[in-house]
Amino acid sequence: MHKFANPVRFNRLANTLLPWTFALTVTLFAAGLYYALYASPPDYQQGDSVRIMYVHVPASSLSLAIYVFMAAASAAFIIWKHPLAVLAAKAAAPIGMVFCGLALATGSIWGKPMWGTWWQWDARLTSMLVLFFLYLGYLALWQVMEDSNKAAKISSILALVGVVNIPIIKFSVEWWNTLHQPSSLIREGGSAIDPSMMTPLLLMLAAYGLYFVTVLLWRMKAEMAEKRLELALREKASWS
Amino acid sequence: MVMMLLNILPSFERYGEFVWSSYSLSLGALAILAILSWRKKIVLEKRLEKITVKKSKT
Repeated sequence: MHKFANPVRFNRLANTLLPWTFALTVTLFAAGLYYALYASPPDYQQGDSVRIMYVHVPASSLSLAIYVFMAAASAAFIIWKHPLAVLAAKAAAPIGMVFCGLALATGSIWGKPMWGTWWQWDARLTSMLVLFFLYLGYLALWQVMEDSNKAAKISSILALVGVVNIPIIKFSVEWWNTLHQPSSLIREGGSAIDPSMMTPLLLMLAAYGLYFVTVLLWRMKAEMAEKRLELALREKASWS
Repeated sequence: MVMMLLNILPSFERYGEFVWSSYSLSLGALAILAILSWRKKIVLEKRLEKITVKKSKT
């Protein structure tokens, strides 16, 4: 892991990976959407509304996973002072925030026909909303602080403190009596989802995951270019 | 591929506004984020290239 903290090596690796991750993301989205909208059956109780699951579950799972990734990258920055680690966390935050926003929005849209309400202040929904605000707060810290070293330190601390919310989101449906259903994908005794619905769900999960990798690499390369640009401009200003 | 897409499209009407709005919102947001991220990378890399070329000339 440490050898990829070198920006030149990282750039070389990203340039090799990007065409493959991009092509795979498009292919998986095409296959996933075909299964989600066409090849999978409607649910016996929910009817065609169950198809919302194929965009809602990947968005919410990835928004949790991205936050854990950000916390791990922030920890690497605090412990080893790797500048690439904090760039990775910073680049991942907008993607995580969009996924979290989508999970909340599609969950709300799914809730209306299923529960009869757009929103309920139950433990799962509220803790997801807290996660959205953590993402927002993390990005706001980078925006308001002029000193990027200070912003990196403080935002890393926020990412590490906020990770406490992840197990709360995951186990909220077991610890409290919630309107949101308990976990049906990863649970004791195996998954409760029929294989005909599992195929599109896994395809969409893989598509969302690879989408994250592709966009993260783009954003990290952009962040690195911005840093080098800042340095070049500062150097130029010191000459003149 | 085109036939497959054409087969899927009418089902939006059958699935109703909840499914339709979830998919269009999700795919739209993901497409916008991807385009903005890719564009940011291209613009910054080009600007950096310009500055480095200028610097090496001087």
